[in-house]
Amino acid sequence: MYARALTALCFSFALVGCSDEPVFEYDSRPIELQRAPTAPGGQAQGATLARVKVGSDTPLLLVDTGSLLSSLRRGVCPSATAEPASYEGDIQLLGAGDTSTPVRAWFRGVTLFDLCAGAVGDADTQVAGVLGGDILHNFSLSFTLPRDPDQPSSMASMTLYSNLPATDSDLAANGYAVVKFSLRGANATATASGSGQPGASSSRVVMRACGNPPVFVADGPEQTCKTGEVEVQAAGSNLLLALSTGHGPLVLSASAWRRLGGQVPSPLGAGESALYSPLAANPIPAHWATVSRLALVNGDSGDAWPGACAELARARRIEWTLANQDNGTCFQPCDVSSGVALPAAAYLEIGSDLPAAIVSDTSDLISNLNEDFPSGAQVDGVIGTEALAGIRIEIDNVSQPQGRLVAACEPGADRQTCWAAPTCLGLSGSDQTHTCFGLSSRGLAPACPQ
Amino acid sequence: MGTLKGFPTPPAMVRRRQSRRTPHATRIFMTACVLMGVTPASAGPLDDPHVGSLGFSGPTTGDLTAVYWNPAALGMLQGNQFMFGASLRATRVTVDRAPIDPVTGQPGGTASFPSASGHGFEQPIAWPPGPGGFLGVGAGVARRFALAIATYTPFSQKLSFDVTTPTRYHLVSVDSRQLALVCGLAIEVTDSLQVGVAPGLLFSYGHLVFDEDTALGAPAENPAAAARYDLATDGTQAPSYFVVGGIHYRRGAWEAGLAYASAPLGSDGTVKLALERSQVTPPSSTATSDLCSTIGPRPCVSGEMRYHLPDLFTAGVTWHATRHLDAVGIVRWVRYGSYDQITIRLVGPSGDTLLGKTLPDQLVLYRGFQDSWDMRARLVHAPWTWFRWSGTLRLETSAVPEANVNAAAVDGPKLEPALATEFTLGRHLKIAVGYALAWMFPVTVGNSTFDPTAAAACQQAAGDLSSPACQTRLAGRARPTAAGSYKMLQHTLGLMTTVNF
Repeated sequence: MYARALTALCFSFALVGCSDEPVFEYDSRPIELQRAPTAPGGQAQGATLARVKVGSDTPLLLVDTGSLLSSLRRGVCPSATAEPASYEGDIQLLGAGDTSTPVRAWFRGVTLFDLCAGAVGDADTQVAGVLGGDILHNFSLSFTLPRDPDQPSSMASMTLYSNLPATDSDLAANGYAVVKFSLRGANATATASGSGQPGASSSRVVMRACGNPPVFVADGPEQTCKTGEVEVQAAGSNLLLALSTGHGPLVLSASAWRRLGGQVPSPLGAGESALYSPLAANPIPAHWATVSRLALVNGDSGDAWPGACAELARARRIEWTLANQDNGTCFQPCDVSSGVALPAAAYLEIGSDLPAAIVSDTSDLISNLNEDFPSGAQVDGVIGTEALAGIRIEIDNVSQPQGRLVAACEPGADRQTCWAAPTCLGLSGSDQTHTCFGLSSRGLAPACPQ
Repeated sequence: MGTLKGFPTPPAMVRRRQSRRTPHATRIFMTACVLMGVTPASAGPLDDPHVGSLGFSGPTTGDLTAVYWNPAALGMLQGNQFMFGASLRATRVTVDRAPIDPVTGQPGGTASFPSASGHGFEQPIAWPPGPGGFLGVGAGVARRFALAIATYTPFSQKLSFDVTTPTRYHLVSVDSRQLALVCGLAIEVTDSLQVGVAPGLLFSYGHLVFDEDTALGAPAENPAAAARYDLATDGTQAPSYFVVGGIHYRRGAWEAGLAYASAPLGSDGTVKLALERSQVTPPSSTATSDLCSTIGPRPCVSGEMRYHLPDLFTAGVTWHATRHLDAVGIVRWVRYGSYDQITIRLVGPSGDTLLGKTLPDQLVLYRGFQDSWDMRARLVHAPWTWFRWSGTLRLETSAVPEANVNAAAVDGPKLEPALATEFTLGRHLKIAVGYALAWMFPVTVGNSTFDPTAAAACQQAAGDLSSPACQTRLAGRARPTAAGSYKMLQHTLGLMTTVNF
């Protein structure tokens, strides 16, 4: 009797233990990905695509760190219901190799929306669903996005890790640029009405960037900066961008493009290819342009933060001082506090002439990006995978209290194309040395007189 | 109650009434702080079956070792007490691997191996604090309470093989320690019943060295294709926390104790070790012998190791058979089933590193332990008031299923006789000395769970997780076979000093 009661009790506890938590099965080895075109008629260097098992079919699945929610259609498109329903299901992720489609990861018991995700990159690239940030934010995601997609050995890949167990300082010492990011998107409802559907949590990676900064040459002329001038001496335009592997090109709002000094034709996108975005139901009219350079800069958005471009300029001034230290250089007064050089922020600079799609500020894409926080800092656009070509990145969503993008350029990359600068901490004593910006070990440099 | 008078371990109430004074809390605290700088010995492959006094400690023993065995028994503490002790433990493991097929690596071929010996010597005088020590201070307070603070090493493993031995793919060496710092509180609920709780911090340290076979074909176990992973923490890690709780009941000549010690709490029982002093040496067949760049830091590899520790239940009964003789029975249920694997993630330099390409940066080392039962019977004879001795026979079931045994996880049914003596010197001092010899019934692994062909088969299947080979790899069993015979012998010599004041 007691034994039976005890068994029943244990069984009840066991059932309680079988919670509704999703179950992930993966092996932390690269999962080969295909690429969508960057634009209609463009190269296959756009959004990252895997295959997914749906019955006996293996349609394409968009892997998008910028989508808040995941979806997988269960029937044929168009969906019979006006508003997509959510369901608890499985995603069986298949590697998108040319010759085989092995099962590379299982996401069991995840919440999915039954909708037709539509086209990505161009009208012909239809996907059956999206593996979005709501699932991906459980991992530290490593992406390899080769610059030359035509080489057979250079397939894009994604590796899922449970975490990235290295401190910022260890990563910096090993040559990685560590750029912290914030997550956005919370409380956005999944559907038009939002009724009865699960809302999204913050899982969209948003980063501070400096658009169109000037070219930096370590042996170029000195850039002076007096105390209090740090923001005055900044060049380029501050941007707030979402990181989305579901997009190919860099996407900017028209207002952001104007800040960068660009012209927006009217009507926008007339006679040009439309942008196919997973964040918008319909193709978006776009003006296609190029951004000379872009730097993702580590830093927060606090009142004391001078902004991405000012931080970038400071990091470059500090690098210039260290690179030319043998010539008796000194740190600029605006880069010094109490006689000690301020830390140079980590940054990832990419160039040159990055293809960019300029879209209207009122487009579905820009509206969607800002839906969660309409009165606050505006997200200016999206960094797509084409802009990240030739860079090894790891999006560490698991790091606490803030996620971080850890980046390194492919070996042999030209500085004008890719430059990952780890943070450089100032020295406080003449007996100290540090190694920054790929330079050999340097001692203490003085501060310039005011 | 009177029938117990004069027994070596007088009951709680009797001794508490003998207490001369209540210790000053500050003094205890300061003493504890001093003691924390110094420290602390293994049933299964990981845990120490002799925490405290070898041959006398148990869940019904009313001294400071109760913080580990059963905090409720602290309630029998008399006055103030200070205990320190050390164990020296020498382990010898002999591995005779079965010959393998030189092409497939499967057992049953013509490629034979020399016999490999592994040695481990554990002693507490080390930094980070070594295993085998116990240090504690405590006191009975206000008749119904007892407080104590103690440090010991509940889990440890130390074994080192000759680097050229065939055990390299499973273990070259390991030094793993979990140092506990615990505060114990016991409350006397009734004259017969006491409860106790001992929350604690667990400071972990680890150093693990093994080889990874980077080849995916013949010849099997090619030393030139073996990468050396030398992974270590930089001292002890930020602690996890755990708790021990128990009850103690006494009636007539019988005492019974039951205790539970949790696995690390708040992390699903997972211990996470930051591998800050790690090194990965590429195989000799590769062009580069060093992962680190010329201007970067050394070591240039960092990472994390994760594993689960077991929780355990302990029960014990003591029968005070005569004025001079106690009979003790102790059972421990060590829930090793949770110790299924060790996962490791490494991060290397940003340059053109092999790590993450030809050298895996994510590894799973399969352990596949099972729960074990540790049973012991003990007689404690006290012919004189100043002297007692004990004889213990301990039996323990294997924590490692036969198929899962490998050089890093050697275990089988064990038999351990132990003898201990204790002398009381003057009014305050007791010194106990004990010796135990643990003999493991030899284990012969025929069908090893490790499959040397799985890595290549999984690669052939393009990493398809639905294939059995990739499931084997995923579980960390795609490694060279561990088939062979395993023997282990362990000597433990313990010394414990108890000061009552």
